[in-house]
Amino acid sequence: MADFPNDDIALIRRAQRGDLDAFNALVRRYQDAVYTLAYRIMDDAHAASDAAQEAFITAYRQIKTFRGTSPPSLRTGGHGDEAALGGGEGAFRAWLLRIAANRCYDELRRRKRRPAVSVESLAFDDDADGASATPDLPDPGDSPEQIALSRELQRAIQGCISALQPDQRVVLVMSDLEGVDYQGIADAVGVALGTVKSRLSRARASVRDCLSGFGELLPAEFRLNR
Amino acid sequence: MLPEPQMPINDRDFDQLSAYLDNALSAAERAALERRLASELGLRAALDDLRMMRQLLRALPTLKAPRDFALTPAQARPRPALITFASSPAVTSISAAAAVVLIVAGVLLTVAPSGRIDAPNAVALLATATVEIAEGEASAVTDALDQSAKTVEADPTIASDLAANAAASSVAQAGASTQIAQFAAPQPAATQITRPSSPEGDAAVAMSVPATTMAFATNAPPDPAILSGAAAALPSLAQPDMMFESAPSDAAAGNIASAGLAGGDEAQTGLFAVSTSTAPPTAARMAAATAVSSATALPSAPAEATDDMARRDVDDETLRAGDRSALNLLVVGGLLGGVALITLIVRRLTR
Repeated sequence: MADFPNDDIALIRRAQRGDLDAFNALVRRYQDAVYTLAYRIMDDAHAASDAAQEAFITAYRQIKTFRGTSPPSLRTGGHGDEAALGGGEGAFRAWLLRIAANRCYDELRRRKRRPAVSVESLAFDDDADGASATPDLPDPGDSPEQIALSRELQRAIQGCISALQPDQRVVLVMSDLEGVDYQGIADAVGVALGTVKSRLSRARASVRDCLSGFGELLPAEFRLNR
Repeated sequence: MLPEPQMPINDRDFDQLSAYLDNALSAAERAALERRLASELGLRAALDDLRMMRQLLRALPTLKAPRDFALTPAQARPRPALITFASSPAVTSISAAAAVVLIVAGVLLTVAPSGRIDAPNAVALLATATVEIAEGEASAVTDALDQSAKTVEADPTIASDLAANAAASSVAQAGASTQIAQFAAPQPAATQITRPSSPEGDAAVAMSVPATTMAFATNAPPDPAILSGAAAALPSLAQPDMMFESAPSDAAAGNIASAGLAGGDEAQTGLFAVSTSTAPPTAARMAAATAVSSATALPSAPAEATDDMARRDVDDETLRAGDRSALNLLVVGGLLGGVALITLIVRRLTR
């Protein structure tokens, strides 16, 4: 990240004029965030990579439509560093995440219509030791509390997220993991605000119930009441 | 005081708590919930659970991308314009909508006892169906208009040629015929350009009827007098080859333009054009116009041909014309349905 100037606006402007190098600088800046979102939704490293790549291709093709005036789509105090993001940076990150979420949502709906198990993805996800080969390693830039969760607990949480219906999963990940507000989610998924609200509530209830079965894994401060 | 028992909260309460957590409640809802939170232990416990769970989710680490997602020049290359256009949802939507309209028209004409008499009702029903479809597909249709309008702007004669040729060929035939022309006009005023070059020198009048009037027409009994009455109200009926343009409209509405052709003594010619429009508030662009021109032209009968035999011939001819009209509509509807299917496939393949 330090290879590029911390100036999204200039890079965006250059990318809007067709400068691929400038756009790729933005890609490298946000690819971890985009990939993480995709992985949390898809729960599959291959599918997440594909979705992230497609999202960046779509973003490049549509970057001329980006106006950089929609920072409210990210709530302050959310996951990661969005609280510190301002103006164009926050707006661009939110824009990218919306594109990626939309891509993942489309893929999940496609899978729902045509359910199939990919042998390739199974082979990728489970190696001979039974341990996951997915590259879900913490980013070196994460804060200590973010890496405090045990790997086991991370998998338990991811399992609870993956157990959700696709439409609930997308909403939960965008809201509670990425801090995207209701309007940003509604834009990405193409549903009404009320639908976002109800899906999120259902998703939270399901995850809460799911996590209550992993009480022994939860840190003391995260023990749920039920 | 005994501790308050924790009652399980219901779904509605959980919805409220979830929205409360996101500060998405109205001031009144928030105040009411906070009053309950102050007194209901179970509700507070549920809110605490929600807060902790969200913290837990947010504590999940950001993952390292497994590879560099930087685009290669090949990935950055724009898709060919033709594929982009053909794979656009708008093309699929418009084609599908037009196909439905035309097939419905074909069915209506097929089941009608006469291809002539039921035309007004068929047109009114078609307009209603088309408006419903267009309302559902408003955004897609509007997008498609940009493409269509550009095409027509590039060559403004395209639409008029399509319709004029269709009408000319239909009238040139001995019997009655039906031709369908579909086009999108770039201007707010949808010009129904259908100029029959009949040797009889018939007058063609296009009349714009607002949506409310169209609804009336839907309920009206099938009566040719509707056409003749409407045509009589227009002063230029007697002028050969006269054409009115439908008035511009700011509202998204269905326009139904009917034109009556006055021919020989026995000739009764109906020409109907149905269009739907989903214009933006400024009416800067004309919405998708699906024009269904149904020209039913009977050969001029001699003035003395009033005996029963002649009438039967005319009726038979009209019936055959209705059959051909229905067949034409079904064929074109099927073709447009095929276009919709192909664009859908292209979109799938180019995802």
